[in-house]
Amino acid sequence: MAQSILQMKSRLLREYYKDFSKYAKGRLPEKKVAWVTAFVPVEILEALDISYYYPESYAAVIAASNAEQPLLSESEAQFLSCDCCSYSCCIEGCLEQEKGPRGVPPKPDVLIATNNQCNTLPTWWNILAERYQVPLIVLDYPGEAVDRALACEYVTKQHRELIARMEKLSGNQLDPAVLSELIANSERSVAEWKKVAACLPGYEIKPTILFDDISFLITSRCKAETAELYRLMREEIEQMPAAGKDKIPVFWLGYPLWYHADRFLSELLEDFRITGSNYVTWWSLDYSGEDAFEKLFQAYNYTFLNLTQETRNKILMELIQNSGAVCAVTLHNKSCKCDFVSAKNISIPQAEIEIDMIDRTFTDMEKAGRQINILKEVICAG
Amino acid sequence: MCRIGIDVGSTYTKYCVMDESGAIVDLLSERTPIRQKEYFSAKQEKLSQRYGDACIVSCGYGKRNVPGFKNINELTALARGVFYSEPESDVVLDIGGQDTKVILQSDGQLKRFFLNDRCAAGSGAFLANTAALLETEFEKIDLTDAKCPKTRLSSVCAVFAQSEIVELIAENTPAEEIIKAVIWQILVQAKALLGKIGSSSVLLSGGLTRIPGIGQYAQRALECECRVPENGNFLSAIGCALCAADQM
Amino acid sequence: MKLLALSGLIPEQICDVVRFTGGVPGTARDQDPRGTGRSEYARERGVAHYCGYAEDYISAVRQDDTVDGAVFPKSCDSSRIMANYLEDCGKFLYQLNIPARQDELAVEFFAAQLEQYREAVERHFGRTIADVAERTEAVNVRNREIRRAYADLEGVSYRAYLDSIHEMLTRPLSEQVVKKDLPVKKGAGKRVYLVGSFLADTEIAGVIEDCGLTVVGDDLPESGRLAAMPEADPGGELYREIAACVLRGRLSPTQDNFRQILSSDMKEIEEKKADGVIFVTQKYCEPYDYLFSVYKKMLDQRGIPATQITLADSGNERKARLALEAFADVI
Repeated sequence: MAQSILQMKSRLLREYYKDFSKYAKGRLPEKKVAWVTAFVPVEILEALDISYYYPESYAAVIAASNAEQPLLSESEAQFLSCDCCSYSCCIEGCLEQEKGPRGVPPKPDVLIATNNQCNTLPTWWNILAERYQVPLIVLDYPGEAVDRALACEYVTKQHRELIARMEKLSGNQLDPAVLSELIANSERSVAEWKKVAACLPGYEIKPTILFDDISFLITSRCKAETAELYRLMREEIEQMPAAGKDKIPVFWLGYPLWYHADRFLSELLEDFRITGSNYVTWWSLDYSGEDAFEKLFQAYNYTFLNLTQETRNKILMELIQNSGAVCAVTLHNKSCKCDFVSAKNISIPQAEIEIDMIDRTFTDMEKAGRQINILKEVICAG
Repeated sequence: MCRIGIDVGSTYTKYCVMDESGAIVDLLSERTPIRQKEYFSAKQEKLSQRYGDACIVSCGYGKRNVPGFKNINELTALARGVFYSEPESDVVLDIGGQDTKVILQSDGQLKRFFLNDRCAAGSGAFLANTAALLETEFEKIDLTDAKCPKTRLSSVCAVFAQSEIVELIAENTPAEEIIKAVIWQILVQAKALLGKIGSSSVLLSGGLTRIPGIGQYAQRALECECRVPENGNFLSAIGCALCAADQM
Repeated sequence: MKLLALSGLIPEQICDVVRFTGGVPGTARDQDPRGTGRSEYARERGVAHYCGYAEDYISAVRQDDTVDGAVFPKSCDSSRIMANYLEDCGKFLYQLNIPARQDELAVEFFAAQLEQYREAVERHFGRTIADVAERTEAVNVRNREIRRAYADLEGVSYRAYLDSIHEMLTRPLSEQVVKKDLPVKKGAGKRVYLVGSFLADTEIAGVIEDCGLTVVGDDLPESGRLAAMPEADPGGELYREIAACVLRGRLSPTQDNFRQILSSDMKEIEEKKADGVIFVTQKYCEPYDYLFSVYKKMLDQRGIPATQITLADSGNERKARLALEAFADVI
């Protein structure tokens, strides 16, 4: 079973990276290429046979390959402030030097950004548009605070317009049945992933697996094999020993640290066990709705960071409760102020740590260690 | 009539006296006073008694307190001074008391410049404050044959860096090691500025050039060739004196 | 009813808003315009990597008893999460979704949003707003005056010009008068174009002039962008007209159309024969940081010198002066 999980992952990764310069070796992509931000309705692109790539994901890969520092420096040398999101600084450096662990992604034919995660990503996409001189499409998702009917009409019109433009780009016609099937694939992937994520509190597993393997939900959620991959993973996890009760259950509130081998500060958390994470729930999109367009609206307008603070608080409290965590490590991420503010009202003791998910030099490890020790003292005293 | 350039820095004021032929007669340095207007008025008298009539041009932090012919921008002065002293050097890294800057000069003209917009942990004042905390005299700092520091600071903010230093002291880290770490941090923070100009060779200027061995140490930190001019602390004052000559 | 607006993206046509122009009651900057006191809120919260202008706005809303409410856009990450820092202030709060597009679809959506905004204000304050058309015409008239003043930029003191606009924007619309007798500029210096977010600290404008530079144009939200705002037809489909006004004038980098900004700014820079461009941005203001990276490249390709002044909490003026003096020598 382990072998077939590995084979499936390898196949998906090979398919995803095949047109990156390291593997393509000058060969041009067969399909049109879109660069997308993390919450773009990729089901539409998949239905029209357009390849899509996630620069943010690649930044994570770069950091994981210990290759981010020179690229961050390059980006700053090109006058992009180091105060900007490190995903963008890392990738801009990669594109400028044309260097990366897998080379560079294939040149885009179109750039598609959304604001259902933050407002910085579409801004970054603007500088990519200047670099590549290709069309930029920004999809505007008003979020939970706007009247639902108004938002649905607005978003649906944008989706229809996106389809029309992508049909023109690809030369293909959208088959509604194909789109519906792809959305159904995404729903299945999400359903299976949720079961995998739900294993974290109860089994002796590191969150590393979840932090790394959610990448398939991001890059391949509407592919048929993703749900099967997650089903097999869950079955494998369920064979593992039950989680011990000797460590302090803690909630990891924030991004994985991509540069770290474990993706979290494992060396500082030896007395703790991570039983929950909000990050691993972000791509558990809700595709409910009567038809394809309503499903896409529901999924992409109501992403976690597009909800009201009140709703986010409620969701977060529920996640923490379900995880059994008695405390949290809360990350002030230099690259994402939108995420930090989620942690405002969680009512359990927290160690707040200043980090960056890409730049390993940003974290003061001594200070982080002290914060976590204080947290431990508070929990043990209580 | 001689020419006097005065660079009023945040910590030290540097003077360059040139004779009519443009040769440097004297280079002087003293701590920048607090009551600057009064002080420099009296100073002008003293300079006049010592060197005769002079055309004075000033630059720097307190330049407006110097009664002189005019005052100019310190980066412009630096460009002139560098071209006079080290004409082959176009890229200059100046670590001053309050700022760190990189300039590109060509034929004595300022062409490009970048200022450190991060915190004061990237400037000379941070070193001065640390030395004071450690009761170490600046003049006793020696980096000759110094290797990379074993201790590294992680903070780019002076406030946080200060607390890191307090902890290092509490951990009995030798003062010499802390000083090395501070200087390393100042240099590493300057790397981002150098990246914007893109040069494999840089001339150092400012107060840090007085430290023996700084050239080699900086080379390790900055990963590029670093040269230390003979009067590295006086380049802006020299530039001012040259500008005074232009006016005459 | 005094509503404090964070940004020029909040339409003044709908109801009375006064513009936040920087400075917080009771802090150093408020008492001394040359001061750079950090807001109480920022000190308390220790908000890191957060735009200082937004921090000061939060403080102003929370501390100024004359302010009844805050209206702010969802247009950048700082404004996006702002409600979280204001939710317990007990005042009227409204966040307006600013569309990330400028097409007809976005105009239609924004128009509907504006109607809902008006309804929310009416509900909260228990009053009927029936003068949107009149306000629309008043904004048109005022902006014509700003346009006239902007056209004369080279002849007047730039600092005095900005100060007068800031002072005007803090008043209700009915009391806003564009000053006509601004001090005349002494002498013509090297010509510069200014790019940036709202310039709360007009001391910087004074420093620019002290360095012998003449500002010949800008794309600041309170100046060049306001002057270029299209007129809304008060007799037309009112909300649609107002929406188009906001979405289709000279754009902010938060409106996700850098191409339009670069093109319109470059046209003005060339028309006015600017010798250089000065970017004045707030630290941690990502939209302008991203814009600068491509703007600089565009200017480098055309051989036009540019410099960036980043305003943080302290040391603003000294460092800015150093950089601006050096820039004046470079161009």
